[in-house]
Amino acid sequence: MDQAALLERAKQGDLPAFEQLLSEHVPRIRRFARAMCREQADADDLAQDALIKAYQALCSYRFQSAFSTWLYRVVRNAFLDHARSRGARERAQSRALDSEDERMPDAAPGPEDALAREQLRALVWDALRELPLEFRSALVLFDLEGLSHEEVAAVEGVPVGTVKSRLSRGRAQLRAVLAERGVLGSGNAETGEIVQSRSTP
Amino acid sequence: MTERDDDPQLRALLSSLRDEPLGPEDAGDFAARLHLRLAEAGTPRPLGMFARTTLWLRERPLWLGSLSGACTGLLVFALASALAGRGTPTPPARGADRQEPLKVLAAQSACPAPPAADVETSVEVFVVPAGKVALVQLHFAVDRDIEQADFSVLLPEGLAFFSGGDALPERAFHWSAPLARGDNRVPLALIGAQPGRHRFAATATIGGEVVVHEVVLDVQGPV
Repeated sequence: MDQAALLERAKQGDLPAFEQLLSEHVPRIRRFARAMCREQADADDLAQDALIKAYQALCSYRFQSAFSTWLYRVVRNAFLDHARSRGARERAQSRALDSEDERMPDAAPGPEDALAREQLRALVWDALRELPLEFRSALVLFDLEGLSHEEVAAVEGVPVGTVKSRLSRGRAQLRAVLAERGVLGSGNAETGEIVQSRSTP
Repeated sequence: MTERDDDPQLRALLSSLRDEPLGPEDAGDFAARLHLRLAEAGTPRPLGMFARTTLWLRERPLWLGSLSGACTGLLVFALASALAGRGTPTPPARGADRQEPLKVLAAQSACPAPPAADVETSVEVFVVPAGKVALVQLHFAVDRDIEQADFSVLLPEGLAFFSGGDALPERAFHWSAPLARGDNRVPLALIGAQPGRHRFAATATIGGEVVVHEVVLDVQGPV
């Protein structure tokens, strides 16, 4: 069954049709949620909340863009609403890492070691979560999930130039955070350009 | 060099996040729990008339452009209001506990042609060809974000709401929407079904204050 037929059925309340539409996007959306929550269980709750919102709003999708673009836009907005909520900020603060956790162990085993890789990934996620939401969202969609500039622009509802600017500034800020924690060297010229202000479209 | 080639070290780190197991809940558990929650959530919500109208208009920018160029079918009325003085609490007047009323800062028509005639000073009259869709834009200018404003439009016989390519049988239209600080435009598509002068009122309730603006559509020509 093609996507249009699935969508029509899903709009009528055919849940399996909606789940079939979602299937290829779920892993990406769960990772996207991970950029908002430290714990995977919280991220999964958030991803599910966002997908429920998308299901409820499905009738507003009228092929004005690719379904994936519409879906990511709904999900992103739900994530940003969550991240901007007071409660979310308080939870994020209460779970801030202590300095020991943030440092890569000096005697880290080789790259093949699963534990070291897990630690490294945790550090990268933590650093990502420190970025302003707009930078974080653009980095996850473009650098992590491989969307194009145009696709990210459509999801974010901003011009392509704004996406490029957010990516550049987000990478610089991320690199600086990671360098501070000993994950990356400071050889990149952008390392020192920590951008504190929020991006403007 | 493309942007994807920039900073390969950082990009490799970010890419490595894709390889991460998604947590103790495997994909099957996630899907099962999502299924239950979706089932609890019910079916997708049907669109309200406001949303249908907005989507319908958004899907037809060229159609709207030509309509605008022709001027005859395009009708705009402006209704500007503000919540002056309501941003900061002020002591109530002696013996009164009512809130300070809204102040209308401006009320201007953005119609490309002047009104055909005035019925009364607060009423604007616009000529619309019968059978053509007229786009009414409600303008609300407020001086701060409003969480919820309530709107109501009641149409007389002879006018109909237009949505999704069809005239709708409903005569009354009520909806709520937030207003952002500054100018807010709310589109409303109407069609003149019968020739003659048809008066209708658009009512907005903002922060407990009611603003009413009357409009007369002079529907002319054969249907």
